[in-house]
Amino acid sequence: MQDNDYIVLLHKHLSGEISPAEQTTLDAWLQSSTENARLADDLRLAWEKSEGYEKTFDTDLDAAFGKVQARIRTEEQPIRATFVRSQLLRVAATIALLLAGVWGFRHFYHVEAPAQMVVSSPTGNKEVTLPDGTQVWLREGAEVAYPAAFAGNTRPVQLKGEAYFKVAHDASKPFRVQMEDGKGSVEVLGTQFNVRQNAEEIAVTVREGKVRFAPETQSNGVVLTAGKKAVLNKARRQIVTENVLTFNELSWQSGGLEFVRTPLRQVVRDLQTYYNAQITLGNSNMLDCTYTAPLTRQPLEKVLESLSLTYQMQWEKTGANAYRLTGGSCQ
Amino acid sequence: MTNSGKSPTEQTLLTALAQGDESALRQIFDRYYNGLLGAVFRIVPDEDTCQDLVQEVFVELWRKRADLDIHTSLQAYLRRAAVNRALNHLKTQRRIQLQESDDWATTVDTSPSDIRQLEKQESLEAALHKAIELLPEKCRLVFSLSRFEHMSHREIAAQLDISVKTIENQITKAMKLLREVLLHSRDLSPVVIWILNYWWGHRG
Repeated sequence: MQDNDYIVLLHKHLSGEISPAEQTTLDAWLQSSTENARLADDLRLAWEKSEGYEKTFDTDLDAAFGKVQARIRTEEQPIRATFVRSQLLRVAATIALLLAGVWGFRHFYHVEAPAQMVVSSPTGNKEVTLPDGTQVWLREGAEVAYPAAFAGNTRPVQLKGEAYFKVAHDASKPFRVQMEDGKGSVEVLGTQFNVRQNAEEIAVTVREGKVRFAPETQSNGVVLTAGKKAVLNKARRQIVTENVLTFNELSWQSGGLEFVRTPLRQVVRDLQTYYNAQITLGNSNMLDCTYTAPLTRQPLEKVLESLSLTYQMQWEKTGANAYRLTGGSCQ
Repeated sequence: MTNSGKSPTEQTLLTALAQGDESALRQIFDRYYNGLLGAVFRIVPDEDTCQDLVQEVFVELWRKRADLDIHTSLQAYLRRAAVNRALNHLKTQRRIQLQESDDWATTVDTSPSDIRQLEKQESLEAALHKAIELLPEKCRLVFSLSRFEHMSHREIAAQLDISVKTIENQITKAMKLLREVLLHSRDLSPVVIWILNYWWGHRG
């Protein structure tokens, strides 16, 4: 064992997570030299004296609580609104049925709204073609709702979950994706983009063309071009845009990874996500080397093999799903 | 009431909260808000973000008021909720890039010390606090989670989604640097702060 390993043990001792076996190892080391014992004393003192590290806050509690209240209000409102709306719909439906009964089939036919289609993908990815020719790839668990015919001036679509859109071009009818909770929308004329949403965020990644992404509060929103990604934090109502280094987060739709002059730090990240593995890059000088390769559904070890060949690195398996790359140089 | 003068007990507050009493939420807020800010600030050192995150904890408390199931103290519950929120924030902001690398390995050599000669305890503590503040971001985060949130190496690794080995590297780095401060605390001055900055590079 090296000195650093003993510092880890000393830390475990101080934080109270040391095992009896480790304690025995540590004790032996402490007794082996006075310098070791002194190091232990120092670390203990530093540990103890660091306890009070905390910035003290003296916030205006009225103002801060006001913000909490405001958030509670905005959150409760939409719930009430939907409730009222669904009640109204129910009443409307009842009236419509009564009317149908009184005036017969022809009258009822006239008040009927265009049929709403709903396609969901509970068990796997699914491809849907909309009436205008737009293609939608639904990721597992997603759901899209759209009218049987796009009759109006826009093409409105509601989305739950994650989906990739390849929108048929029609400059006269903007295509609009509304998120399930009404917290954002994407408007386009014709393009390819991906929408991912969860309770905290909505992320839009544009592969081709141009889209306008608007949160509920801003009607204008941000315009995203190809290679841009925007993440809306719902709670903070803040949009952060970034350049997309790779489109590999869309690999669920495209079916493979692709790297074009991608820095290794990003390559490692993408591989970890795609293969659900832990990959360690031992040589930090390699982080900014760039890598170019299309990888279509190869086993991870094959990928590591070719990566290692390119940069004279060695790879080894360090755990069930863990790998380590060492050595190498950018040339 | 027999306990007039005493603040209502937590259970009373929670019962009132469950019934939708907003003044109960306010009382809980007044009691714990500033303390929670202090805890969250160690993880996300940005005041505005901390305010947001901690306020969100109370919005969540209100949201779940009817079916809260708190086994610890209310304070511990809120603290945990706030810390989790802060960690999630880091993840979603992708601000943590705890790349597995061995760049920490170039730490300074330590020389034998004599702590008994340390005179001013006050300044030692201040120096250590300053030092923690100046630690590289990932290092400070890992140290803080261990020191102040009492999370084990394994827990921190799981929370940040990185290996235990990396956690231990960061801990080692922090401990070594804090020891350096201790060794130099006798003549701690702007010069030493400058040296620390020089060693540790700019903060992440």
